[in-house]
Amino acid sequence: MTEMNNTTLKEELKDTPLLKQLHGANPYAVPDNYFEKLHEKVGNKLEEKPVVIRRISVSRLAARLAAAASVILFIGTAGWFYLQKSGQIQEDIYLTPEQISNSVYFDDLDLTFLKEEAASATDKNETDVIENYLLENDLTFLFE
Amino acid sequence: MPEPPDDQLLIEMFAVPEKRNQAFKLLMEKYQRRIYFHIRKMVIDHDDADDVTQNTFIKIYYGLENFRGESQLFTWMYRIATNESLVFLNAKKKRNSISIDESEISLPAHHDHDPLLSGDKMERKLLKAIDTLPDKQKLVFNMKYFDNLKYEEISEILGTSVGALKASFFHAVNKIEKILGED
Repeated sequence: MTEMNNTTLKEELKDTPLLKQLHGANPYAVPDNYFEKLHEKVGNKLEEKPVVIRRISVSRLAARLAAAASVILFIGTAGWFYLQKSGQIQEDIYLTPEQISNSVYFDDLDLTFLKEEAASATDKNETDVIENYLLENDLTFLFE
Repeated sequence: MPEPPDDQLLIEMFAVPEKRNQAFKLLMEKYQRRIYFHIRKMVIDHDDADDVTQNTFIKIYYGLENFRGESQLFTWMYRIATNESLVFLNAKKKRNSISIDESEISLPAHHDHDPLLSGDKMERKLLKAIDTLPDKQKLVFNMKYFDNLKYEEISEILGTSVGALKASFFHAVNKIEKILGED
């Protein structure tokens, strides 16, 4: 690996004779026995710097979770009210079969347009279709 | 001198609490010179290099347990050393720009006064020339020229493409050669 590396580097330095000539030198020196003592110095620092493990008691953790949940609930509720007020949330209406009865369902709806459509229908067949539909579905009270 | 232990063996030893300190000592013995000189070439001053080297090994100690072997151990350690050197140099630059009256000698001038430089006149000139390079270019040059690292390894350490590293080394070499050639 080193041989191949050196060859490559030598090739790369072929146009730079001064750098090629200086290659391999390490001009830096260290104090005597520096490397013999380095492990001890690092070891001393490691002893001075114990790893701090933060322990959180269960009750404190529960209190923190409760506080976080309260904040989320408050923001969620406020956001829901805001969006609903601004009309961005449209509730889906699900009705039970009992609710879908004439009395419950149609009392709240303006279906006079059906009467008008039936009255204004020029085509006899079209009128018949509407009348049949109303009869079949027990909606004749609309004509009353 | 006995052959230094294999990296994988050191990692496995380190994972055993009773053998951790011994493994770390062997790891330091194996790599401390390379790490120290890599840092020294960046920060220049021995005392600064000593501080940064110690911090680097402390980070290695705390990080080794989570080392997943996705890169070679020594490139991972070089990366930590490189980051620590850059953080140190940035902090030093900030300190120097804040304290205008500071009479600290500049790094190139430092080479003329450093008793821990064993190089001759030309070698000192080389170090001064290297100091004129931007930090990243200096790193690439040092790792290639002094440490004989492959571009692929430097790429792993610096997170830069091999192509960009080659270009960076080429520019650095030309700049330095030009400075060396000046009287």
